[in-house]
Amino acid sequence: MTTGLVMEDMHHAFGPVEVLNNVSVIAEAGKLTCLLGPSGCGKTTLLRLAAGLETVQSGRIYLQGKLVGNGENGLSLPPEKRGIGLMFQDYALFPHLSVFKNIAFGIDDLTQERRDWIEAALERMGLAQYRNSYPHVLSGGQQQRVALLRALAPEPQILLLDEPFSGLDVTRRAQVREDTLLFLKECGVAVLMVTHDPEEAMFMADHIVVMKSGKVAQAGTPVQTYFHPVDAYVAELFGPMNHFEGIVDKGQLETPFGPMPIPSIPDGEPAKVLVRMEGIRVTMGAHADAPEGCCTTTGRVEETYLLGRSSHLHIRVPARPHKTGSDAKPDVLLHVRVSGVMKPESGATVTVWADPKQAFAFAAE
Amino acid sequence: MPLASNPPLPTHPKRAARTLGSGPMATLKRVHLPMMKGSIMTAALLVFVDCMKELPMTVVLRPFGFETLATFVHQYASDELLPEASLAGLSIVAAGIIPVLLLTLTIARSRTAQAGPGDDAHLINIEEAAP
Repeated sequence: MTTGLVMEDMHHAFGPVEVLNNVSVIAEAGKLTCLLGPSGCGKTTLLRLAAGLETVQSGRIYLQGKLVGNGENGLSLPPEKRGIGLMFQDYALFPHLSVFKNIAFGIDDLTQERRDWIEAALERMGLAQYRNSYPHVLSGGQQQRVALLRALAPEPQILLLDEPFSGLDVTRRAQVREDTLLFLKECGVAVLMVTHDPEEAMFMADHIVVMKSGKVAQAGTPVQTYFHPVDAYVAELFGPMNHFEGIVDKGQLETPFGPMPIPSIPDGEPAKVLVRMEGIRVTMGAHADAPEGCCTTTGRVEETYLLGRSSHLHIRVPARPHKTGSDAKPDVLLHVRVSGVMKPESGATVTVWADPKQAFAFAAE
Repeated sequence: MPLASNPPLPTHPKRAARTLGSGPMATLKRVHLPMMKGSIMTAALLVFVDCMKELPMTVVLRPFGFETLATFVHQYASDELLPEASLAGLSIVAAGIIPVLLLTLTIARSRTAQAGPGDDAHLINIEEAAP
């Protein structure tokens, strides 16, 4: 039996609303598994089921190979008997207990060894001076770390994290995320994390489970979900895309970058090609060399927006490469994300091409 | 109602306690009761003061020969023996002030407990954030 957490064929409904439909998830020991999806896709419900805060309606939950929840016979072990750690989105620290006592809450037998562990962890997280403070005097980031330590202190086999970084402001988030990841890797615990932030999922996860309205849309490594999305929904979850729709002809689809080969869809079927905003390359001037195999086209810059780390460009290109005027199809507006600062004048001529690795073809829905 | 404690009891600490291995009874003892302690004490004080000065119910329900401060005051005052009624009356006032003092002290203490370390923590945060 697999160690860690296994959830099989989970179904769950709140009244007439079905929130989970045949979801199976595995969180392996020592690995970080991420449930990714927009709000309302059922990911938090799945986490609460794993924790025992919701009663299993249908499906089975195993912790370390032991059945803890079964929809068929109504078995649902209460949360305190499961040996899991859960970190809540709002941290849910005990307001009447000091930082040290908050962390020690879940430890039944507070031996000297466990005390030392807490002291060392407080030191490591930069919280040593707050050990006797109460939660309300801590900043959001400090509360987040206390909540994490409290969940880890009883040495759970599984740690569940519910949107652990959503309460932090953007400037602190990256640092806290990195610290948390390092700490979790040191602990070697199986982690199941819920997030709606694709960047967070890519950064933290060994395994990403993308959820779409109560179902698993795709499960795989971050590389698989980012570079080989199974459908337009998964592709678009990792950032806005440029859409080009049409009818497949001779195994390819016409796009502003020239024909894209689509071997998987039969001729005559409607299809669409999605290209990531960051998958479109831009060079100043009308003639530039693109890498082998990339079709280039010439476009006109309409707007540029500086975003700091990157620049956002609106570029108008003809619907077919190097054809203007005579083509009946209207021009296409491309949304392009370029890293660093790039601010061409409005109306400037640029050469654009699409990175084939960042372009995906799907049958039109 | 004065019984309602100011901030509503959040649901999450209870859930957090359950996931940390504490059963329903243990959670009541370790989380709910400590968090409600202030409200329960306040409620008890208010009930005590209200019972002490209560008159009509006491007059109807008291056993024979049983007097409270309120019935003393009522009897003497209705006979216009105001000097005799005054001592019992003042006692009610004095007994009513004690809980007020206790409450004020408790509130003041909880304020300093919240503000004191909080200000320090805030200062430290600013220093940390400065560079």
